[in-house]
This record gives sequence, structure tokens and C-alpha cells, in this order.
Amino acid sequence: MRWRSRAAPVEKCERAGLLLLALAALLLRGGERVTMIAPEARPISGRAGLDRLAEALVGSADMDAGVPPRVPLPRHARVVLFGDFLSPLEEIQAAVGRLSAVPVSGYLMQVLDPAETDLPYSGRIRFRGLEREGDTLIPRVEGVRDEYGRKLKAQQEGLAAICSAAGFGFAIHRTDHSPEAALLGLYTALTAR
Amino acid sequence: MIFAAPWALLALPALPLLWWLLRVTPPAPRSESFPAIRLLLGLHAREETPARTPWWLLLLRMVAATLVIVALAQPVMDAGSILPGSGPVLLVVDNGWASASDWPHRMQAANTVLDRAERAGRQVALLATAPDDAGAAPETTPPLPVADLRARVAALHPKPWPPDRAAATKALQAWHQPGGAVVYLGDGLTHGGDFAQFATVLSRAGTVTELRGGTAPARLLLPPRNEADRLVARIAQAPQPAAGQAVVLAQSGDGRTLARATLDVPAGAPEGSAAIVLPPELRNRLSRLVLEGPPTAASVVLLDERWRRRPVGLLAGDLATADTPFAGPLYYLRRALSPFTEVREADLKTLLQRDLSVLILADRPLPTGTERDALTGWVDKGGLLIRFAGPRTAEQPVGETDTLMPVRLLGGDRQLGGALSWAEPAGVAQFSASSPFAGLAVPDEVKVNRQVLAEPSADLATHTWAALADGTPLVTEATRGAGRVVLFHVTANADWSNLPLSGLFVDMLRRLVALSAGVAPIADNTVLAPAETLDGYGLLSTPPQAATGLPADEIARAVASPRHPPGLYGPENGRRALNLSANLPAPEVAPPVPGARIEDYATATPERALGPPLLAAAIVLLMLDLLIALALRGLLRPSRVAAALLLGLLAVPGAHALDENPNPALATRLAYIVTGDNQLDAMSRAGLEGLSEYVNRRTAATLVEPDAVEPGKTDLSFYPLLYWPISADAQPLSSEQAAALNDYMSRGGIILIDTRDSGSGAGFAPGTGSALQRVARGLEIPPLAPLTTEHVLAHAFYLLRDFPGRHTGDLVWVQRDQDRTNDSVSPVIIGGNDWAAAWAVDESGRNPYAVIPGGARQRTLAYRFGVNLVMYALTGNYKGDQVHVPAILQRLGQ
Repeated sequence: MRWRSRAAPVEKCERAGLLLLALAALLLRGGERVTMIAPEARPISGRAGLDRLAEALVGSADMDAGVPPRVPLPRHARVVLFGDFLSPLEEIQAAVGRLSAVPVSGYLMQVLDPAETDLPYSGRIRFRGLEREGDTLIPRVEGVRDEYGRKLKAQQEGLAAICSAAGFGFAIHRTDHSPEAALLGLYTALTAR
Repeated sequence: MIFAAPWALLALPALPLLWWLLRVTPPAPRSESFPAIRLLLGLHAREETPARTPWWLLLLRMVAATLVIVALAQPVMDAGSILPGSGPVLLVVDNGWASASDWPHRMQAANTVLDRAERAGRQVALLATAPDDAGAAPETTPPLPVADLRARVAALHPKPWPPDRAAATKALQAWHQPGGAVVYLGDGLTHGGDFAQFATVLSRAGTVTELRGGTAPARLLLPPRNEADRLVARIAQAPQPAAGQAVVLAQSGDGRTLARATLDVPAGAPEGSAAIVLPPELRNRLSRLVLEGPPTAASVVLLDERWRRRPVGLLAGDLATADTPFAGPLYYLRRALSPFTEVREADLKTLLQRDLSVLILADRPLPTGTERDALTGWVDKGGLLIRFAGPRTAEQPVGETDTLMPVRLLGGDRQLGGALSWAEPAGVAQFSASSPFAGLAVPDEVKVNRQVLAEPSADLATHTWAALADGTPLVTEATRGAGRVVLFHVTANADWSNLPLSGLFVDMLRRLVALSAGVAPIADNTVLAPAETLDGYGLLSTPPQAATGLPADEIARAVASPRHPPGLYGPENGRRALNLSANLPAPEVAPPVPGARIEDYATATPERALGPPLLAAAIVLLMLDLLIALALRGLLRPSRVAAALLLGLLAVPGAHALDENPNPALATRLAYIVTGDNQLDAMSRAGLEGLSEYVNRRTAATLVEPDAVEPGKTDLSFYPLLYWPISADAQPLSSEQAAALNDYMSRGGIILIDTRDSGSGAGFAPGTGSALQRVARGLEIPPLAPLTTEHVLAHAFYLLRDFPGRHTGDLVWVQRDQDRTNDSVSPVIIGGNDWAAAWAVDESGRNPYAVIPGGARQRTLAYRFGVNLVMYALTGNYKGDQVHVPAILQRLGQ
């Protein structure tokens, strides 16, 4: 998540944090109680709670985990998950299944870099993973662009299927797009329930 | 085209291997981090070829590799044929006078031979056929590796004497090398009768290749012939099938050309000649004749007193009345002669003690006796005796014959016109074409009243140079020994005719004096030391070590040789010229050496080694390849390329970039002329910096740091003074440069020309004196005179008695005549004291160059001269008024 390509204005992580805080601010203004999905996180409410949430967000070190940690959640709570969700679908399905068993409902927001959606590279390139996935040599990136697009689409379709099965909402946000649109969509989706 | 290292071409078959290697080795991949790598993990590109190097890049690399291989094989374009044989090569070079005209071509041809021998790995021996400067006979060097011999070949120079065929033949006979080749670089002339034997021995020494050059025949400018009113310039050359032309320039001692004559050499003729007609005043100034064309010793004839000085002695019969104004016999003669010649008057004994060209006796009979004997001897040796008739001659006793008369005279005189005569005073007839007076206009008013008559004889007409209208002789002549006797049948005053009153009289005397032989000052066995001798290119310089003196009476017979190089001999006031062409045999074309292969070096294009340009091309291709490889890896971005290019441009050193002052008019500054020699230019700059600082400290003038200027490029008008050191290898000025400097001088600029070779400086800067002659040819330098203490330059600021720089003692030259247009400021100051070295200071303020012989006083004087110079440049002749202070004070006192 801590990565951006040359085409993107901000890192994915930064954009996700922004969306999270903006959503929390809206919700707190509406009188909701908000908490991070993190061990020993306390629910907060009221305007003053936003600062504590922001501190908790900066302090949370483990941003690289593919799935949310297992923490006890109140029943019928609403869960919003931000991430790039590029881990294997099985892991995500297990995590979402665990959440829906609590039971909670929620929303899944995939934040992607434009380079990840378009693969704008060409020539002979050795790609290195950021999370110890190893590396791979693509002799001619142009040749694999279509296939990559198909695999990405399959991942996103898989995510959408997982979400709809669990009763979660699902949306995709690119970091080169405006965050307001994503926030509006998210807020509308949450208030609709 | 040939390859000097053909084995390198064996690498060419390895190129396909290289192709294969390049093909299987893909370019290194670019590295990118990517979070969505998991999606990429299983992907495989469908096309594999693009992973390899693209075909055009492969081709580029193959071409570069091919270029490198071919370049290493050292290909040579236009290489001459291969030298025959396998043993050492003998290079025989004619370096006598005839080879100077195209010497650079000959050296190029010799170097080509050396190149060929070097490629074949053969040793070369050298035989130069002219004796060397020390007079040693030609000798063959032992066979040497080409690298060692190159220096010797480069040290060869054309000599101002002919090659010694006999000694060369002897040297060739000692040459025994099996399988050897001989290359003969001849000058195309036989130089005497030994050539046939020389050629035979040459062809016996090995397989001969004869290199022949230019089509122009070597020409020899012969000493001119003196005629009545002209000098006949002559050239000799080997007879040519086509008619040719040559141009001879008559030059005075200061190098100015006073006349120019075009000679026609008819087809097949060995000689051509043309007259140079000059008034006697100008003719007496001639110091050399030069054949236009490449400068050689054979194209210069030095003229000494024999061609110039014509002292005339005057002697009257009646010494008492000789000088009576308007009536004396010598009165008119002296006035007619003195404008153009040296006139001496004394008694006969005194006159004949010194050298005399012409002796004029005015009505002085010569009775038998010592006087006549002495005169007879003098005329037989070449004197010209001119006699005038008169009452005393007419009264000569019958029976006694004056042997020094051109014709026998009838006793008494003949009167034309007068109270008791029917005849009218007679006019003068037109001069016949064979007379030396031919062409002179005869005025009608010249009348002859009385004359002496010649005894009629059969050959009287042939002895008559001028006659009266009735045919009686007026001027008769007779050759006697080497000399001549001329008789005017009238008096030298206006008693018998009004001829002495007319301009014709002056013209006739001029023609007669010009007819006489010049005198040589000494003609005994006094040994004359060589004063200045010609080098192989016809330039006068100091005599070589081996040159020795020559007895005066042998100078006419001497042949130029290392012991007696052509040039000027004898003391300053009596120089005798030994000319190369005086006693040489007529040039004769040398037949080809029997059995020799003949090559023409003049038309052959010089060899060119292709290796370096090929390597350069390969490097360019490989750099291009590097750029392409970078671009393929995506490492090349426009911004980086621009930065690299910028760096590259900055890194290119300004090879000869003159950091030109953008605005030189803002302050006063000195300037020096860039010579191209970095060390010399740095010294000029340091010198002018030191001088500027000194001037700022001591005077009210404010000078800022000096500039470097290049005439023709820099605008010189802002600089009051240019310092110009001459380097030995200075090239002649181009016409633009000369025009710029002439313009600068004519508008009041001052150039200080420093040859840096006075005194002990001759060892530091050898050859700059002759370089100055070469460089300054295009400059309009006025007549010069030594700088004296009276000159403004000697007291423009300090009072100076001498003008030292780093060296001292030599004369400094400034303009001789005061030129009002430039405020009497000399536009050029020429010296050799190396002033910049004396003025120079380094960064720490010390003087890096020691003055010679030394001492703080010399340095101070050098700076003072510099201050005077700057003041002179800035204020002109302002201090010139000081010269008159004593005179003004004296006048005030009165």
C-alpha cells in the first residue's frame, strides 16, 4: 500500500487514510460511534474523537497485512475495509466470511494505483514485489498487458462476488481520481442501509 | 589500397560468432517495483524475439566491429608500389642548388619511400649527393631502421652549391648490399660530366627506382651583363621543347623591387635574356637580381661594386684655366657628371692609384712618356678613356702619333662658319642604331663651329658613334685591350660648339659612363672573409662554420662550394659578390638512370593511412550503440540527455579560443599579438602585466590588465601599443592580418616587434631574425634607423641611454624619417632584447626570468624603457620639445 507510480499523485496508503478519516468525520458528525479494527481499539464518539482516531491511524504499524486482524466486534456493526485487495481471493473470502458471521455488514473499498490498473510499462522489465512476493522477469511487458488486465478484472469480479455473497458493498477507487467521488459513494452506500 | 597489418583481417571470419553471441545475449532488464506482482507471476509473453537485441542494433554493432578490425589492419590509401628486392634500401637524394625549388615535395617523396620501407620492415641507408655544410664529401650512412633515419632525412636541406657527382659515385661504389633496392631522388640535372658514371654505378648498386618531379626546369640566374644604359639579365636552363618565360626582379638593398623584366626563353634555347633599363642613380642602388618563383640560391644574383660604382676622373690639359666658370674645360663636365656618379679630380698619378672606371681628358695631349704608358696599361685592363679635342690636341706636332687616340687625326682643326668661310656651323646627325647614343634625341640648336678631323680610312665609319650632318665624325671610339678610348672631336667647353650647353651632352656622358666597367675595389691576393652567405633558399645569413676566406683575384673564377658558399665577401666598404651561377656549367638535363623504373612524385597523391579515421568512425558507432542501449533500457530521458550534452560541450576545451575582451574601450590597456605558442603568449601576458603594474605605480597613467589580440580578428583600434614577439616558426601574415596591422600603424598605433635574439638571446630564440623577414614581408615598415638618445623614446619619461630587456646590447630600430602625419611617432619599434621576459612577474610578484648578464639595474632599466614606451604611445612627441630646450635656453640667454 505504501507505493505510488509516476502517474499517481499520492500513495495508495495515503489516499486510503484520507478516505477513512473523511468518512469517520462525517459519521462522527452524524453522532455515530467509530472504531478502528485493531486490538485494544476503543470506540470513539463526538468531535474530539477524530483526533484520537487520526493518531491511532498514524500509529497503526501493520498496514501490510492482507486481511483485517481478528478482533471481537459488536454485532450488527458496520464495517468499512480499505485496501488494495490483491491478496489471493481465498484469504479475502475467509476474512469477509468471518466478519459476516459475527454478524456485521459492511463495505469494501479497493484503492488502486493507475499503474496497477493499466500496466503502462514496456520493454524488458524485472518486477519486484513489495511484500516479499519475490520477483519476475517480463521480457516484453507490452505482450502481457492484456492478460494482466484480464487477471485484474478476474480479481475484482471475485471480490465483488465475495462481497455480494456476504452482503457487503464493493467499490474501486483509483488514486489519480478525485477522492470526493469515492467518499460520496461510500457515504451514500452507508446511509442507504 | 594496401594493408600494413593484413593478419588483423583474420578476425573478420569471427564476425558471425560475434553475431550469434550478440543475438543470444539479451539487453539487461530494467527493474521496477510493483505491488500487483502476484497478478504478473504466472504470465508469459507470447513473442520471444523482442527479448533479444533488435536486428538493426546488431547490424550497427557488427559494422562497428568490422571497422575496428579493418582499422587494425592499417589500410593505406594511394600507397605507392612496393620497393623491389628484399635487402636494405638505399635512398640517394640530390640536395644541391637545383633541388631547392620543390624541396617540400622531395621531402614528401622521401618520406613516402621511408613509409614503404618501414611497412616492409627494411632498413634504409641515405646518401645525400651534395657536400654538407662542413665540406665533407657525400657519404652513405649505414643501413638504419626507418625510425632512426627519419630524423636524418628531416635534417636534409638544399645546399647553395652543386652536388658532387664524383664523390657520390665513390660512395656508391662502396655500397654492397645483396638484394638491395636503390631509390634515386634526383634533381634532373647532370651537374657536369660525371653523371654517366654516377648513373652506371647507381644501376649497379641495386634495382633502381628513380623519382622524378616537377616539369619546371631548374633555372639558373646568371650574373647580368653590363651594357651602355642597361643591365642585361640572363638566365640559363636546360633546353626545353617549349618556349618559356621568366621574370627577373631588380631589388635594392632594402628589398624594394626597382625594376621587373620578363625574359623569353625560346624553345630549345639554353639561355634567355632581357634588358633592365634604369636611370644610373637607381641602377647604382641595385643590390641583387631575383628570379621570380620558388626561392633558391640559384635564383639570386648579388650585385657588388662591379655593377655599381663608376668613379670618373677628370683631368684638363691646362690646369690653370680648367675651373674658370663658363670657360674652363672641366666646368661643364663636372656639372654634367656629378649628379649621377662620383667625380674625382687630381693629377694623373693620384687618379690612377685608386680604382677608376672612366677617365676624361679635356684637351690634354699625351706625348710619349710615363703618363701615356700608365694610361695605356689602365685602358688595356678595362678603363674607359674619354678625350676631348681642343687647341692643344689640334696643335699636335706632325709625325708624332698619339697611340691613345681612336683614330688618326689630321693636323690642325677645321672651322665651320665664320667671317672667312662659306660653310655654316654644322648640326649633329641622328645617331645610328649601332651607336650607344642610339635613341637620344638630337636638338636642332646644337651646332659645331670647329672640330678636329679624323684621317679618312676604310673603317672610320665603324669607329664613329656620332657624326655631324655632313658626315664628319664627331665622336669616335676604338677598343683597346679590355678597355676603350672615345674621342669627342670638339672641346668640353663652349668654345668650339654649343654641345656642352645642351642636355644631349649630359645624356651622352651618362651613356658612356654606363658603358664603362664597374670597378672592383681590390684585385690582388688579399683574402676576403665571407661576410654574408646565401643558404639553399637564397636568403642571406651568417656564413656557415666551414666557410673560409677567398683571395680577391680568385673570386671571379671560384665555384660555389661549402668552403666558399655564394654570398658577399670582404670588408664592409668593399664587398665582393661570389655568385653561384658565375662559374657553373650550363644546366643539362640528366638522362634517366639505365634500367631504372621512373616514378613521378609530383603527380602522385600522398599516402593516407585510413586506420585512424576508421577507428574514429567505429568509436562514433559504439557511442551511438551505447545511447541506443540506454534508450532500450529506458534509462535515457530527455532531461538527462540534455544535461549530458551540456556537460560534454563544457568539457570541450577552448582549443584556441581567444577570450576576447567584450568592451576594450572602457580602459587603457596594452595588448600583445597571439603567436599560437602558449608559452610565448603566457610570457607576453606576464610581461605586459608586470609593465602595466610598474607604469601604474610610477606614472599618472592607469593601465588595466593586458589583452591578447589577433590581427584581422580583433579590433585593434583601442590599443595604444601592441607587443609582438616573433617565434622562429612564425608563419607569414595573411593578407587580412597584414592589412589590419598596416591600418593600425597608419593610424598612429605602435607595434613593438621583439625578435628576442639579441646578444645571448640568440641561443634562446634561434632563427627569429629570419622569421621576422618572413613575417614582416606584408607590412609597410618605413625606413628604419637605430634608436639614439636624441630620440623622443629615450626621454619620454626617464632619460635613457640604452634600452635593455632580458638581453642587452643590440640596436633598437625606429622609423628614420619624421612623419608629420603621425605626429612623428614611429609606427614600429623593432628590437631583440626580449623585453616581455624582463618585465614579466608571476602570481607571487617575483620576476620569473633572469636578466642577462643580470643585475637589478638592468631590470630597472628594462622597466624604464617600458615606461618610456607607454608614455611615447600615449603622448606621442610631446616630450620631443624637450630636445630643443638647450637651444631655447641659449636663445633666451642671448
